[in-house]
Amino acid sequence: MEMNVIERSVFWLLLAIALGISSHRIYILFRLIKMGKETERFDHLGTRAKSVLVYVLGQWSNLKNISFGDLAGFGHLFIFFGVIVFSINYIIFLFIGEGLGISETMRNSVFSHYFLYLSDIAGLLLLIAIASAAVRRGILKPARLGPNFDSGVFFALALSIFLLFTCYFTLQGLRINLETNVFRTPVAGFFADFFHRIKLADQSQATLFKIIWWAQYGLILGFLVYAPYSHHQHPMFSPFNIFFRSFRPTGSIEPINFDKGEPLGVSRVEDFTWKQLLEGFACTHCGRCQDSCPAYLTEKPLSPKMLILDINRHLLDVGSRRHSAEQARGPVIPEEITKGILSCTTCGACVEVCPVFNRALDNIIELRRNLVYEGIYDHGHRVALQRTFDYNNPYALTGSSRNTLLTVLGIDKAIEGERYDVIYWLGCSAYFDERSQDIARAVLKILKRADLKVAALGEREHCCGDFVRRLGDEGLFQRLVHENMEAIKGLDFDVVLTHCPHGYNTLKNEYPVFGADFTVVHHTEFIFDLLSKGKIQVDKAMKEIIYHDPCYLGRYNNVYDPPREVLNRISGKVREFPFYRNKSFCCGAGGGHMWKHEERGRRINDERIEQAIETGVKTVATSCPFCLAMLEDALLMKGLVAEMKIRDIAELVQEALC
Amino acid sequence: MVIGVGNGVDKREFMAVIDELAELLEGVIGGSRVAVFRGLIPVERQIGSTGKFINADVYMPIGISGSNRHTSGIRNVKHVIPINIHKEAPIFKFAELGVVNDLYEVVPCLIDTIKKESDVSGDSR
Amino acid sequence: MKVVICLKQIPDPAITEFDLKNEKMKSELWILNPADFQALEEGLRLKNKYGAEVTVVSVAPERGDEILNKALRYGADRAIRAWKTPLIEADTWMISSILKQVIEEIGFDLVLCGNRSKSTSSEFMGVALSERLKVPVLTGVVGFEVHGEKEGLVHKKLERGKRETYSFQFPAVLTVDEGINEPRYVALFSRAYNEGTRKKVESKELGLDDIDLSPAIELFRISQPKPRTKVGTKISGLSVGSLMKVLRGETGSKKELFSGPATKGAQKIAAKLKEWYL
Repeated sequence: MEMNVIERSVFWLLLAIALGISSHRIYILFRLIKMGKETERFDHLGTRAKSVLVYVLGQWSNLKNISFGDLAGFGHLFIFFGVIVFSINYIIFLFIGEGLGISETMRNSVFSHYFLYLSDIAGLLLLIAIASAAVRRGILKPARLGPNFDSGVFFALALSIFLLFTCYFTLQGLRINLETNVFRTPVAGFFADFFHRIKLADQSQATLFKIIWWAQYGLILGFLVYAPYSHHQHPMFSPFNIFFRSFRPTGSIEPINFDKGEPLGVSRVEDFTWKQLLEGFACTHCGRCQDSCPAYLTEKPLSPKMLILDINRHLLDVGSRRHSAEQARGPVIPEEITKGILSCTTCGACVEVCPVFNRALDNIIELRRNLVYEGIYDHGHRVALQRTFDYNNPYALTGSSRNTLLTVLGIDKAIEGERYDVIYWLGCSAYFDERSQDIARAVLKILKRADLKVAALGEREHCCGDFVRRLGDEGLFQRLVHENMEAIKGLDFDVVLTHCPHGYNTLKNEYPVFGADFTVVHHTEFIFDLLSKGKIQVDKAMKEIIYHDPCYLGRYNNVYDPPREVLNRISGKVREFPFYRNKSFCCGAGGGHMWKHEERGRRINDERIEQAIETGVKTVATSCPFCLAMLEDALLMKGLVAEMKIRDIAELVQEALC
Repeated sequence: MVIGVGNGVDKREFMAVIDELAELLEGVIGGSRVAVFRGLIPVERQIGSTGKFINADVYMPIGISGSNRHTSGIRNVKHVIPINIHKEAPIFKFAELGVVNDLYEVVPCLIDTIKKESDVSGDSR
Repeated sequence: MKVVICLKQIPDPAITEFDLKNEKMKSELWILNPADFQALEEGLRLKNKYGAEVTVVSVAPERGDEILNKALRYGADRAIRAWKTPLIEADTWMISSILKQVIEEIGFDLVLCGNRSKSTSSEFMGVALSERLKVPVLTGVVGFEVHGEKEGLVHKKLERGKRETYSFQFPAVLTVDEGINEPRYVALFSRAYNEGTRKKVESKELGLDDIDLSPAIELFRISQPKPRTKVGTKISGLSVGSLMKVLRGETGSKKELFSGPATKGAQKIAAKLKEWYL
């Protein structure tokens, strides 16, 4: 049934108005995003396009997160599928077909028969998915959708979608009854039969058709206008967000160029890059980041989701009060929004799990940099930074004590002119913390067994700067980088070995941009290599062990298998935590937390040790001296030192050497 | 004058006795990281590499083993008197006088001794 | 309010060699005396709270610029370094005459400095300045407050944690004990740092007539503690770091571990406490 000229004019006029309002709004949002700083995101266009195909069209963003504990992705699959199908449906049949007066032709092709069949199924699945989503949000209320569930808004949305589809299927059903040659699809047919059964006269059906048709149109235009105002803008923005995503690994940080003399870090929204501002619009509010944040889960005032959304809301707020982007700098981001950023352990779980590739962690580091710029510190952080500034290590012990340790452990001090197999980067923890020295002792025994020539830097080794950088003190970090590079320059060696993932990550990934070009290897990788090449042998005599993935080895560097391979050689039963590999739960020491006390909530290391206790395993293997310290502290506090042992992989291997 | 409490003080009620000692000696109570975890002392009173460095003349670590995470905070102290039941405890490396015994016995004895002495000699000023 | 802080640059006691034969310090690394740094922090707090103008002064050769620049980056408004080459042998009394000249030119309400320096220290500077400037001095300050434009309170240590409080009027000299505060931290390239780098250290070359050339005191000797025959620390085998500690009395050279009955142990402790307190 075609529209007459008047109807068609109204149709197009309304569409023009709706599109006008909608695009104007999108334009405003685009201008807000453009307030951000420049960043180069047009490289690797092929890879970027492929990401969109795989993650958006292929819905891999969603599917990658699906597990027994997280089935919400299935629902999204149906919603996504339904929306795509119906968008095509409406474009072809409504806008092109009826809008241009050629609906009869459009509806009678073979393609359209199959497509309408598909639409029925898609529509049904979509409705089931929307219904379960509404139940989930309104009744089940899973924690990660909070703290603001906004159930009212979502119920209204769900209701509107239900109404829309009721209209759709009614119209399809009426079409079957009123027109000839209409392809009969299952759900539409059901509606058609319904109208027959209630004996609605043909004339009434025709009138009903007209009413419902305009009602449907009204709903569609309503969605078109509402979408860019709703806080569910993600369908529009997330494909772009994924296209422009960062290829840098989790946790990697941009260096600051101090020559520019600008204020450091972010204090106002326009200090973020446009990509970071885009993230706020692309966020799906799914809350997976919140659900995996160790700070949030232990009642700290930090939620990665709320950080991104609050910054977004602040941006909208700021933007609505400005008429031109050229005005003087806007207001500082309120402390209300940034109050949790010092609670972040920089574990990277939020970045790992985000379906649209948002990087809340990057925002936190930038905000921290500004705090340092303005001289605002947590007490513990200030002390640690001051000590590192004065003594080149956060323990405030002198460089000569480092030399003393070399003598105590029996390591040579590296000198120019000698060739070494391994330069052992001990890291501040080993120089100054007795428990970490046990790790070094074990590693040295292993290296000796493999007949390797080892040396260490002694007092010329300064703090690698990891925690300094994560706290936002980029200036001190770069000073340390240059000092360390001077120490290594001129030495002749194969690899730099470290047993600390923080040192490993910093030396391997962050020093090269300043000119470093040496190979860095973590001790678990190195030990695995030695075992594979037969340079050392071990007995498989150890009892049950469980492995805890350190954040900076796992998520930051994807080193999951070598430690496990090593453990498999020394134990017949290597178990996993429920949160393991890239979902490993942080020990709580990162991001400068070693130097600060958690001010609220439960302790993060307590949380992890409880997870360990629940597995019932008696030996926990780690590959990070900070994880070791944190987990042992947690045991000590619970009085369970006799019940469970925490050991570094090196210690376990050394015990198993034969 | 600072008194430190650590892992050896595992009965929270004993802090009342430690308080009494501190009052008698007009000292302040600090401690190791374990003491903070146990709730014996607030976090501002932690002594060590992640806490405060103290400048006191006299430090009496009670039930503190003396890992260098703690002892880095007492390098400026003039006189250290540890009480610890384990004679191999590293804290004794810093001791001018160390008492190897059960703190739950020594501390009450010490309180008695001090009280007796000040009764005998009257107020010191 | 005008505050002047006197800074002394000393050889880093943690790593500096002590030349036993010549009884001198061989300086390898120079640092700002910690107590003076804390005096600076007190001055900066007055600046933050009352808008005081903070000037730092040091009598030092060119290497002194390092600590003066550090002070500028921490927030000092002006930094002045005064020097004349013969001053390398000057004593506290001579140096105080130079400081007097500089300080009087600046004008002051308060002069702050550390009570003693971590290297060799006569603890004389505060009193010397007081005499030169003809104003009262309060030494060994562990806390102080300012009330209004012209007066303040200082807290000094008594034994066993007690404190005595004195009120004083400006102008005055205060010398602070190490431990009075924990100074702020100014990161490289932070706002305060950048503002500081825009300021320059003013250096004053002095004429010999500006200096009172009559020395009052002279560092005569630094001696080692006498070796003990009982459980003691062998001096000769010590590393220089430990030796410095012995000289400063930081780890007792006599050590005793007592494993007897608890009552006897308690008595020993009480005896020791008495020895140190009274």
